This record gives sequence, structure tokens and C-alpha cells, in this order.
Amino acid sequence: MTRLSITLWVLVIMVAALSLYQVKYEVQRVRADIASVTRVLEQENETLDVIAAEWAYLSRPERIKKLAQKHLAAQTMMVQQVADVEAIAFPHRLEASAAGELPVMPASALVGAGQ
Amino acid sequence: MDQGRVRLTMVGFMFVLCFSAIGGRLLDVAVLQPARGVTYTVSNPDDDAVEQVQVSEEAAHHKRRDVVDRRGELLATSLRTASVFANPKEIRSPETVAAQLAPVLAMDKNLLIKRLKGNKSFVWLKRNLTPREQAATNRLGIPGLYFLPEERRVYPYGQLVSHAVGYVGVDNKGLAGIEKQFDQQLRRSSQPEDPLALSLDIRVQAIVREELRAAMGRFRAIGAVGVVLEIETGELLSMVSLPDYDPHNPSRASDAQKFNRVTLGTYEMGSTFKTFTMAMGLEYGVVNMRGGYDATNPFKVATFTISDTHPKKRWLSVPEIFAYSSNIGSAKMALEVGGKRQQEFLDKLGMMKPVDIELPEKASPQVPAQWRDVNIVTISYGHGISVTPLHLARGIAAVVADGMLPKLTLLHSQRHENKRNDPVISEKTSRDVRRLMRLAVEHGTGAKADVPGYRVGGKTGTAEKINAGGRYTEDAKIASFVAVFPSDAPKYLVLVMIDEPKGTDATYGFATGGWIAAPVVGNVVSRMGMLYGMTPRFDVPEDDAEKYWTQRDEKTKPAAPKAVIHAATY
Repeated sequence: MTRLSITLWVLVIMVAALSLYQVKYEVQRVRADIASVTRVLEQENETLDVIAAEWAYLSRPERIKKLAQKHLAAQTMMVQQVADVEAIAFPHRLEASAAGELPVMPASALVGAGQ
Repeated sequence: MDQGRVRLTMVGFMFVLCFSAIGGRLLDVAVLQPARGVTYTVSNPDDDAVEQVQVSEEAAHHKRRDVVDRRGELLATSLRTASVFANPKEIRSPETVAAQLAPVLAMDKNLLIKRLKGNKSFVWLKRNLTPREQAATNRLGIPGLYFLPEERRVYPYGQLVSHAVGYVGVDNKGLAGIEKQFDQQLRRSSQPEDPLALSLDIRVQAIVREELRAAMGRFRAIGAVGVVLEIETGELLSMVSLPDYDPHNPSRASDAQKFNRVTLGTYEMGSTFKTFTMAMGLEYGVVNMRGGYDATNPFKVATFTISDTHPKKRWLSVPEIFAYSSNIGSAKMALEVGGKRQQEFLDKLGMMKPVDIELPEKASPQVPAQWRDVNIVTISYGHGISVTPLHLARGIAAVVADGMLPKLTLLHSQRHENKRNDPVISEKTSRDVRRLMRLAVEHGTGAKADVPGYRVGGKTGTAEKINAGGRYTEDAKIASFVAVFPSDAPKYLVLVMIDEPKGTDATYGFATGGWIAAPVVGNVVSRMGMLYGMTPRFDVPEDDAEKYWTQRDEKTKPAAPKAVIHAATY
């Protein structure tokens, strides 16, 4: 009886020791994984910071303006070039406005850069 | 038999001892983790002061928070860099090492030798290396040199927002602007790391700065101020003070560059103050929109002669006094209101105390100690009282926004707890002030600020500066213009001041607010309107200012207080 229980205990201890050993190494491995992933993450975050700063630096309004002037034929938009669609005197609207139903923008406001 | 038992006990005891030792160590390593980190004794290369610096791992990961504008554009961020330090005790030949390092770090050889010869165990050689410098230093393979990861504050937009955002010192401590004001909050890493959002719009800031710089160049001015305010929320969309500086190298900037004129500069504002005089006169009911004053002759108060810059030499209605910027008219109006009420009124407009804004750089207004008749008169057209541009902007915002004095802020917020304090003036008076400002642009000195369709209302100001001898001079002026638009329901306020402009042929030699500052405001308004997609309108029924221009009622001309007013003798 004693002999049996001792054998049993020894077995239990051996199994426990073995599984502890296994778990311990598993934990170490996972820890190392986490550490390396964290390191990669940090590096990526640092890279992102740098890229964000670079993006802001490259999109400085004065730089964009210079590039636009160099590469685009577009000119600065003028206030006179902006209007609501409703205010534009399409032919069918002219009739309506003649009947006093719609307001029409003064022509001077639509013809470009006067003042 | 007995001996065997003793031996067994001995061996068993040894085993127990060994295993307990191992177990104890295991517990020590696994559970009672030692605090990681290193303590260095730091000698600052700049002042040679010795301080203890705890460089813990936590601090190394800790990043100073970003600062962004209202749309999330990055105004200030922190990047990881490396700094190189040396342990002089480990360096055998300082001369050789210095000779190797000097070209790599672009530093003076003798300075390096001096630092390397010290009897310390830690000395900074250079902070915040560029990646190239770090790689080159590494390649030298000199024993006794070490890198320490650090972070460096970077301002992608550079000078553009220098006065608002401010700058930090070499140890990332905020020394000016938002960086100083919110130093604690920026250090504390919040989870998740949300950036500090300012009310500024980098695009509007760029427009204002560009227009100001152009005007400064054109008129050879020594400085300029630009403020754009969202009236309802009190948020500053733009705050420009020129000249400005590179926040990466604040030590290289002059005092004039670092001086924030918007919050720290106090100026006699000149005629823009007439807006307050008009609001006051209308509010206290001494005159109405049809009334006016006789501005035929200059008059004397004490030893001062009050005269007009553009004399019309006749009776002027209130809109005319404002539009033609008549000193005589506003002086008479202020005298009728009286000094006590004027003082009270300006106090309610916040002209007596520093403006509450999230910046450490703030100035108190300079207000006369005694409020005599001379003071009443000069203050009615903006002399003899010095306030910051922010005071002026906030005051104007209050008189056009139904008398509500806004709480100015540099922070962007979705919700504004609008403390409904008592209005400074009634809604009716505010409506009249808006009409006056519109008329000053339509018919008066502010014509060059008009943008067709945006209904700009505004007021010019031309203040003479006091020279070294304590006298006002014709040669040194501050030309200013304050505008609100659209004038029937003002959404934005634009304030522009140009310091000591010189007139050109194009301005017929004039260096006044109407010729110098008004066109700048016009450009800013038109570009801003485009940016925000504001539709110009030409058929606004509320825009009823026009009829007040022609309406007049000379009968209501009040008699000027005889005691103080004497016709001048010329």
C-alpha cells in the first residue's frame, strides 16, 4: 500500500515537474514573442510619427502653392466665380424670373474679375 | 548503522539548503522584479550644472503629446532621436577621440577635448543627433561613447505657427506659447494618446501670414499683426505676429522676433476705437442713427486741439462721423456720454484687464490713472489708452454680436459652455453698429476692404506712435483695419495691423489704415470665403444699412457741453 502510494506520488511529481517545465518554457517563448512584437510595433509607431511629420512638412501651404503655380494652369479662384446653382440664369429660369418668380444674380456678379 | 543515519541526514540537509537557495533566487527573479532603469549624474554642457536624471524605461517610452490644428494637421510632434554621451573615465586619449569626432558631429574640437577631459563619469557630447551622425559616430567604434534614446520636438510648419504653439527647451520643457501653458498636460501621456487640438486653421493662418508679409514688404513695415476670430465660439482661427521665428532654434531669434504682438503688445489703437464710442453713444441714447454733431471747426480741450484728418467742415450724421472717421464727432459724442460711463463701458468690454487666453504671454492694458476730459476725448478715438490686439478683436466681436463678450480661446472644442453673461449693449444697438461698419466700407475710409458679395463691415485705424522723445510723430504710425463679415450676421472677424508702414506711389504716399491695412483685410476675407465655400450674395434683404446713409435729422443736433468745448482759433 505504502509502496503503491509512493510510486503514485513520484509519478504525480514527475508529471507536475515536466508540465511545469513545459509551461515555463512556453511562457518564456511567448514573452520573447511579445517583446519582439512590441519592439516591432514601437519601431512602426516611430516610423509613423516620422511619416506624419514629413507629410505635414511636405504639405506646407507655401510649398503646395509653389507646386501648384509651377505645375497647374489653374488660377486663384475669385469670389465672383462662385454662385448658387439656383442663382444661375439658365434659359428656363429666365422666363421664370421674368415672371417674378425667381431672383436672378446681377450679370456683373457672374462676369469674372471686374473689381 | 548509526553512522549511516547521520550521513543521510547530513546529505538531506545539504539538499534542502541548496534547493531553498535556488527556490529563493527563483522567487526573487520571477516575482520581486527589480526596478529597471539607470540613474545618471548629468552635467549639462550648456551651464555645467550637475543634476540627477532618472532615465527609466517608462520615461524612454513616454512621448510628449502632439499638438494639432482644428482639422488635425500636425503642428508639433515628438520624434525619437539619439543623443551621444561619453564616460571620460573610459576614454584614454581625449585629443584623438576629439579629432575623430569633431568632423562627424560638426563640433568644435577644443570644446570636445574640454568635455572629454573632465573628471566626471557622464558628459553630453551632442543632443539629438541626426540618423546620419549617429551612424557615423557608431562606425568610429570609440569605446566610452554611448547613445541615449531621446525625443526631439518637431514643428513641421515651422515659423507659420511659432507664436501660438511656442517652443520647448533641450529637455523638452515648454518655454513659450501653448507648449509652456499646457506643459503638464502635454507631458502626461493620456491613453489613448490623443493630441491637443488648437482652434487654429493652418490654411487661414497661411493666408493671413502670406498677406501680412506681402504688405510688410510692400510698405517696408517693421512688424504686423493678424487675427481671425470665429465670433460665435470665440475660437481664434489665426493669430499671426510678424516678425516671427523658427521654433526649432529659438535661441537664434531676436527679442523682436519672439515678441508676440497679438497678446503681449499694447498699442494705442486709433480710430478703430470709434466703434466703441459709437456703440456707447447709441447705447446710452445720447444720439441716434439719424443724429449727429457739428464738425465744422476743430475745438480745444485743455491744451489739445481736436481736429479731423479728412475735414468735411460741416454737420455730420452718426454714420458719416464713423465712415469719415471724424475725431471731432466722436469726441463730442464721448463728452456727452461722460467719463464715468465711458470708463464703465470700456470696463464691460474688458479693456481694463488682461485678456484671458491660453498663453503665458499676456499683457495688461495701459489705462489712464485719472479720467479727465482730455482722456475722454482722446480715448473716444483710440489714443491715451493702450490695449492688445486681442482686446480690440474681442471688443469688436462683442459689439457686433448682440453685446455678448466672447471668451477667446486657442483650443478647439465641439461644445462651448457659453456663459451667458450680461450683454454689453442691446441687440438693437448692436444692429446699428453693424450697419455703421458696413457703411464705413461702402462709403467711407474702409472701401478697399470690400469684397463684393461678402458684405464686409469694418473700421480703419491710423495711430501715431510715440517716439523716443515722448511725442507723437507723423512718421511712425500703426495702420490697422478691423472687419467683420457678413455684416448683417457676422461670422468671422479679421483684424490686421501694420507697424510703421511707409506710403508708396500706389498709396499716394499715405500710410493710413484705409490705404495700407484695408486691402490686406479684403484679400484675407476673399481668400477665406473661398476656402470655406461661402457663397457671395447680392440680394440680402437684411442688408438695410444703405438707407441710414441718407437719413439725417439735423434738428436733433445736441448742444455741446459749453464748459469744455471752445472753438479753436484757426
